[in-house]
Amino acid sequence: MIDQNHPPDPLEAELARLRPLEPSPDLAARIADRLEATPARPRRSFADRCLLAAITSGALAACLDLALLASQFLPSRSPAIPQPAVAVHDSPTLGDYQHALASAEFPPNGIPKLK
Amino acid sequence: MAGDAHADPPPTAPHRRADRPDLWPAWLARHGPALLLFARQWTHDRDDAEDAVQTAFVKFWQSRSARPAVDGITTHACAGVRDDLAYLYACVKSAALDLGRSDSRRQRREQRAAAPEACFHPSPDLDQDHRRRSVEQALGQLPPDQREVLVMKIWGGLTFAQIAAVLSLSPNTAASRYRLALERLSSQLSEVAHD
Repeated sequence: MIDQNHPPDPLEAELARLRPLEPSPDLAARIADRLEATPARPRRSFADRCLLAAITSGALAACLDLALLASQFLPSRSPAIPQPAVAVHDSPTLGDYQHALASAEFPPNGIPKLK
Repeated sequence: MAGDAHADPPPTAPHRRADRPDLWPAWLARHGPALLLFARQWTHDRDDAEDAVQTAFVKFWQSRSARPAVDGITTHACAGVRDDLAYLYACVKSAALDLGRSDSRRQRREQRAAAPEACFHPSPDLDQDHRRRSVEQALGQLPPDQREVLVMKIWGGLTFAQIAAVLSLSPNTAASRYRLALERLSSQLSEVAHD
């Protein structure tokens, strides 16, 4: 690599004597306006983010522990016995009608028989 | 309180802002001229160069303010550059290139007169001022990759490591481009002197 501390040659010295023109004062005013209009959003440092992640992880672990302890100490419920599925028919079926007709007096009392 | 009489004025006082190295006016006062010269390489005129410097400087300062410095070094993750000054120059180059691509600006600049604008302070001495113009002309004829290294090194005061960070090069390549730029500039200036 080229040595940066070498003595400057005459051309380097001549160039360094040239002074670039300054920006206009208007530039500083425009930068000030922009910086005031859109202030920088502070970002968390890496250490802060690590700390936040550790706190969140700890809180989650504590919640999990509590849930496990609660499941051990709370009275356990017996599992519900499944009820047999019984079909309940509120409305009479065709069989009910046939059975009722067969067991009924026919013709019913009070109704004159046809001759 | 007696001590209040000698207390520093508030940091927002205009006459003190440029003196505080941690405030942006001081940064602009210190690096503004070289940044403007740097931006002029990709912009046609001074107005465009100032626009580029403005855009870049606002972006740089917001990034710097948002990210705390560790051991005096601010990490600008978006550009992968850990050095403040290198990041500022990278921002200026990016903004100047963006401006150069703008069609509306291209049309505007084509309508303007093609008279070259001065980049450096004129000298009261006629011979020296003639030499200044020759240097400006020779700078304009350098290859862009050599010229940007020369501007950053001579007037920006960046080290080769910082220049390498700006351009995503090795420091050796930055140094060799600098040497080539000086050699070419010297050759061009001696031709002008003989003419």
